[in-house]
Amino acid sequence: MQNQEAQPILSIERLNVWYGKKQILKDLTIDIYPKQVTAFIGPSKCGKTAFVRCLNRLNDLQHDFRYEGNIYFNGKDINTPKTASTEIAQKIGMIFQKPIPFHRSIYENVAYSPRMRGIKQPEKIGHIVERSLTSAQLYDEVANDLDASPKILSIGQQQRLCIARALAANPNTIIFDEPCEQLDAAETPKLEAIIQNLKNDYTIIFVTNKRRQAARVSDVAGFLYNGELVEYGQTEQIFTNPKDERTENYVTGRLG
Amino acid sequence: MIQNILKQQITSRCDTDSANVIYVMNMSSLFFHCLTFTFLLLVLFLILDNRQDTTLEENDLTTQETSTDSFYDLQEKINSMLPILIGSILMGIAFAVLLQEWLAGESWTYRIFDFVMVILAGIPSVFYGLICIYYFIFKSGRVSYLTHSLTVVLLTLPITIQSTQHAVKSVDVSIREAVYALGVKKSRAITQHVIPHALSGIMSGVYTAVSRSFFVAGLILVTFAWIQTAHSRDTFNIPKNAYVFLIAALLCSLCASFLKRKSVPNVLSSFIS
Repeated sequence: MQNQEAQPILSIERLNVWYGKKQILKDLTIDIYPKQVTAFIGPSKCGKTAFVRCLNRLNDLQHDFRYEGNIYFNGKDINTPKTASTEIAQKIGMIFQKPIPFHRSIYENVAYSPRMRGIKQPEKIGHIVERSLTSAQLYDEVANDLDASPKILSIGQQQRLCIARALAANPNTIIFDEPCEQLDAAETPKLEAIIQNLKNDYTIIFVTNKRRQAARVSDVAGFLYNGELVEYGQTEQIFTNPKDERTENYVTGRLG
Repeated sequence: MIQNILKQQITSRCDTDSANVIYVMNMSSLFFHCLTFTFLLLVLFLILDNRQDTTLEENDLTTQETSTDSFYDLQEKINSMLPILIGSILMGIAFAVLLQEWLAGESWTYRIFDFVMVILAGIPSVFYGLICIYYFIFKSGRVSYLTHSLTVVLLTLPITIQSTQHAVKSVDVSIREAVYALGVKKSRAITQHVIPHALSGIMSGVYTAVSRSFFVAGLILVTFAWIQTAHSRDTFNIPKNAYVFLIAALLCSLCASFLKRKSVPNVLSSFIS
């Protein structure tokens, strides 16, 4: 690993996940280190999304979700009844496949979580909104219509608005769950550039089923197959010199 | 002002074309609905009151001592049921949101409650009206507030609860996820995001419940008047109040079906990938 000497920000120990009777993840043990892009690749239905949803407790919304094992975030177990799921979700932001802007103006979308945290001064909120929109590389495009509805934005801009909204919540880890799935070819490089910039300040977990994108963006990659973590290591090593046969098959395109 | 509201309504309707959001009823259109609703109730009240006064005067002039006293007593009771109607609807909405968001699951109590509500909501409203007439008036021989309130609650509560439950359930999962992923508390997420998205469905349920109770009120008036004329051998005239109630019921059910078309849920996106 790159930052082997650093403390892992997220460490997952023997995680088993079931949806109903179907086992989605089998005995996952993994450490995720801060300030780098960790990508999870694998064919569809292999449990990538289910895995990252465990990290910010979004799976709690599922009635038939069941898990075993421990997830430590900054050394604290996130799945105990004592830890508030809202606190975890605030510290671990998430970007989804489909951008869902709230039904309010662009400014209010980004200002939503600062307001929720109890910040009242308009200058402070304005500062946070501007900083978040700038880091999401959207500020120049929407500077003149901050009060307009997000409906006027293209789907790629909406996705960047969602990134700005997640950044305004002051997280230290951001999960990107196949963020480029609905974007066109022109928007994808922009999003990848944003991720490269954010890497310096945030821990980024990136889920994709596009091999080349993972190779471009990530520093560390993990290959999931049928709910098992087959291989986890430096992206270069995974893509050029995989140890496992299944990884080699997937990377070369023979599998999935 | 009304024009402004209408304009906002039209723009919010145009929003349905965009891909992400189905039909979010914003606060101004909720206000519009409340306005319509109160206007309807006000007109109803005025008409009923006028009618009652004039007939009383006629009674005084002609000094005919017939059994119309109990008939107007009944009308008065029906008028006094309006606050109970509104209260029962509000209670139904609150209870359904509570039930769906906090108690829903595999538990037996929830299942039994759901089952009972489905059955109660499925019973035709005429049935309730007839039961009300038979048991609560003829059996006990007098008109009491409690029995009337019970009928109104039985009529409106199940259908409000059911439609609110469906509306809240059919809010797209991705919207909830987007909200929860920001670390929003559950109560806040529900009041600020889930309910506004479900509002057209909820309002449709409210209109259905109101139309049901108005329909039954009109029906009871007609039946009662018919019974009265059968006793006194006068010619049978449908009382005008019954017309008012039946037309109001029709209008409400029109509103309900219009709103129901607006609240068609999106196809839920698959989770595991």
